[in-house]
Amino acid sequence: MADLLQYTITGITVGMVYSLIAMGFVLIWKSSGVANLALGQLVLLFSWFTYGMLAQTGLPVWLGLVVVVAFALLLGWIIERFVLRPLIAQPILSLIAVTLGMAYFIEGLCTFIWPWGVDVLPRLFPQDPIRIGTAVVSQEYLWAAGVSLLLFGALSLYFKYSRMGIAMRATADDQMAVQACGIPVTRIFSRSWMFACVMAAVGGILMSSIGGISYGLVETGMKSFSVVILGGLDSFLGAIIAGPIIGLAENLAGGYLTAYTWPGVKEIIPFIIIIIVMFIKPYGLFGESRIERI
Amino acid sequence: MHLPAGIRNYTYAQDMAIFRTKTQWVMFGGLIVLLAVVPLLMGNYWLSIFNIIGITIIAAMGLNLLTGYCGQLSIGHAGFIAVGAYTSAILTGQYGVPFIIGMLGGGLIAGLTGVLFGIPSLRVKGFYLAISTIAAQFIIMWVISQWGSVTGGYIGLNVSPAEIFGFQFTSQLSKYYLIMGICVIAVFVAKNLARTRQGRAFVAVRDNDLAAQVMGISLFRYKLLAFFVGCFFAGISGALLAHCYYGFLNPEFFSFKESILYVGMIIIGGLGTTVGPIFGVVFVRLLERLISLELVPFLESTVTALPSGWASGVTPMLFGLVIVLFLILEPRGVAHRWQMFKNSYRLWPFSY
Amino acid sequence: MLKLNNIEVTYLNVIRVIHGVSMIVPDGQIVALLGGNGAGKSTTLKAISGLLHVEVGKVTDGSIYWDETRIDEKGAEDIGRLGIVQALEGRRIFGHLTAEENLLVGAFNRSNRGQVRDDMDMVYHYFPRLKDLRKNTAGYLSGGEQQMVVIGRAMMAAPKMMMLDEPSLGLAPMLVEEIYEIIKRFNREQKTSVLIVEQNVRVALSIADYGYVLENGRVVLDGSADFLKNNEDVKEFYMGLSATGAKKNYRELKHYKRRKRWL
Repeated sequence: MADLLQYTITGITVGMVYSLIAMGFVLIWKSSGVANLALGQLVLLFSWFTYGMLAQTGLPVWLGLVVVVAFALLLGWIIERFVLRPLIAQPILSLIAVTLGMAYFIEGLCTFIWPWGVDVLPRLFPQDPIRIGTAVVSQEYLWAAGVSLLLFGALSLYFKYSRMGIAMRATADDQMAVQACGIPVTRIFSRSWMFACVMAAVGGILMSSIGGISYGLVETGMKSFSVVILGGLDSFLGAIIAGPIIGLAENLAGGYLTAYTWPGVKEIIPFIIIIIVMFIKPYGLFGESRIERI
Repeated sequence: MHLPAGIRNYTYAQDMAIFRTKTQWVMFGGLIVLLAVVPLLMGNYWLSIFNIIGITIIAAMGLNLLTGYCGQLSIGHAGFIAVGAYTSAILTGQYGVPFIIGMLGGGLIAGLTGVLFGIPSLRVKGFYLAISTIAAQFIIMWVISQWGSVTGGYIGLNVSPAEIFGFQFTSQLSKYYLIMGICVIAVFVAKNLARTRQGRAFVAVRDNDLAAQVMGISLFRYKLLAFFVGCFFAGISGALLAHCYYGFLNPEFFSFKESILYVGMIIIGGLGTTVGPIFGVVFVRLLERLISLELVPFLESTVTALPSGWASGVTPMLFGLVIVLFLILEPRGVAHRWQMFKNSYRLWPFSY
Repeated sequence: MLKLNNIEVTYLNVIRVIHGVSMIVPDGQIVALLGGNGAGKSTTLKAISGLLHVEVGKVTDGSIYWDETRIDEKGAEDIGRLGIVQALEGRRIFGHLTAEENLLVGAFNRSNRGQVRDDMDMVYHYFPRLKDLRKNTAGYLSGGEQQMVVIGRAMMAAPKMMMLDEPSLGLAPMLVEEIYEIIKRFNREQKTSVLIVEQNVRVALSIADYGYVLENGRVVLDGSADFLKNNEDVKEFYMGLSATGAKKNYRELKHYKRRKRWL
């Protein structure tokens, strides 16, 4: 029983981080129709960058984190402006492929600057584990869940009340009508890339403070794809709900199935879920199926 | 010199022929002779580069049929290549099947795996399909690396060299002839498949699958056929990779990055053309060798101030850059430039 | 004042749909752009508002001036900032936003929040019905209410010129007249010039000062609203009335091309 509780808590908390990263994906998809397949690589890059700021240059933690967020905003802007804007109105194949090229580039960049490949972040959260009932949970998990919740809250307030947030939602509804209102949609695209990058950065920091920095973070990003597929590509709510489900499934499978199958079954569960969703309900739990006319 | 400019064709068959004038036949013959003679003048270093190019062209032809002609984006091609490679290696190694049968078996199993993971394509497309092929890549590689008793897992698997009627392909030169032979056949098949009823159905499905369906093209049949053919090519290529290139298999060879690279190759070359993938493969593989065999060691030895291993990041960075730049600057790929060159050359000096 | 100088519009670099249209929208007036399906009315509007590139179209010849500024090469957002706003055809509301949020999107480019508030009240003054519905999700509003939201959204940009693409589309005749009455009041009270594209010629001419008739991408007739209202051809081909006011029968209609006086 203790195991079950343990798996449940770690699964749900890690899943919330997946949700956070996945929401960045949904944001870009909704506003500009671009599928960002470089998500995992972005998570890796931001984790390393945080490492660079905190461990290598030795900035104080708060300042280091501010720099990381600023870098994420800048990178998001750069990506939108110089990579995706020239490709507006190109077929989706090109849009997918360009993010793949970016993924390749970012991965190379990480190897280029931090070639040793594995490291740990300086501690950001208190160390001692906490007992919840019979389970012992290290605090990082709870912090991760807390930070994710906080960001969900902040984002939903932003989308509800700010001028830009409302315009971003409007763009998701009808891009051309937004342009007819004289709103520069390119600014909305770049804003959504900037936000998505910040979410990937925060997700990366949380994940790497739980499990250290390694190439495995790329797969964390990939797992967020299973979150968006399960939740539905165009649904924030879907992303929030599907994250913990994926995290839970992964941890429960890791806990109970490893004995019956092979080790590492935990890593593959999200991909198996993708395939299952594709077969049963390809547009996810909350996604709108695309209505097409000839 | 007769190239097809201002030539009047009297029948449909004449008009559709690949080689429309005698000169073209002569040039084609010249190319074949060139392919046959050139290796005699090369050392093993270049032969091995030519070999990997030939093997890669086969797989890229498959991906091009699937993605370029049929519009079904697959980002799991390395996974399907791995299926072919391992199937063939296991068939020949553990069951003593002859190489040819092993290779075809590898193609077949890879094709069937492709069909399995291609089933979602009947309901979804674009990004959804891309994701499910990524999932396929990860699931396949996970099974291969975990199923140690059969595949050797992370330790790897030794593969016997290719053997046909008792002749063992062990020297680079003999491998070259084997690979180029199969490669020419593959290009020939791909080129002709694209010109048949099936090929036109693929293009129709790519351009608008719903409209294609309304016109009576069975999506079930043609999408899955595209997956089968595309992955069959991948399987053949994988078998050659196992028997004629590495001689040893390890899951590392078929990483997700390799899959991305395949997509990059057909994009750089030009989607939906036959020469495109060839250009793309030659370009990418040459660049890869150039960087990893020349540039990286050079950088490592000259710049020692940075932590060791940094230069290995240069390859992926450059490739990423090349893919992105190609998409932004010439989304139709090298093949488009080639076509423009051919047109202006044929019409010269009267360019209009 | 908006001035179109013999413009040509080409889609996809090959399909030319506007072959030289010239027109003027004077300040503070209502101008109607009339014509059948495919005459090029919507394309003309998009050429003005800079939305052509979305559909891979381009103004290939001629020029468009807003006062002294040439705008045919500017992007949609620059043109929007100059005070030209377009309400697209077919009630393009943001379905997942509330009515009030829809209006706020219209005021995106304005930084003075007090004025935006005032204008919101102004819109509610013109469309009292929206005030009660302002917290409702726009996607669930009725067609007429959605059209009000769309026009209100255009008003919220505090435009110098408002372009409306078929505001009567799919609405009941009563509602059409109500909406047109409001457009006229808005024009008179706020001194905003209005360019209306309309198939419903009668109602458009009832509020317009001047009108242009477009056919196959050319202006075939233009004149004051009174002139057009009394023009035999307009009556016959766009209002469906013969000289005597009786409905025409189909047999005669067949020969209509031959009988058009301007062709």
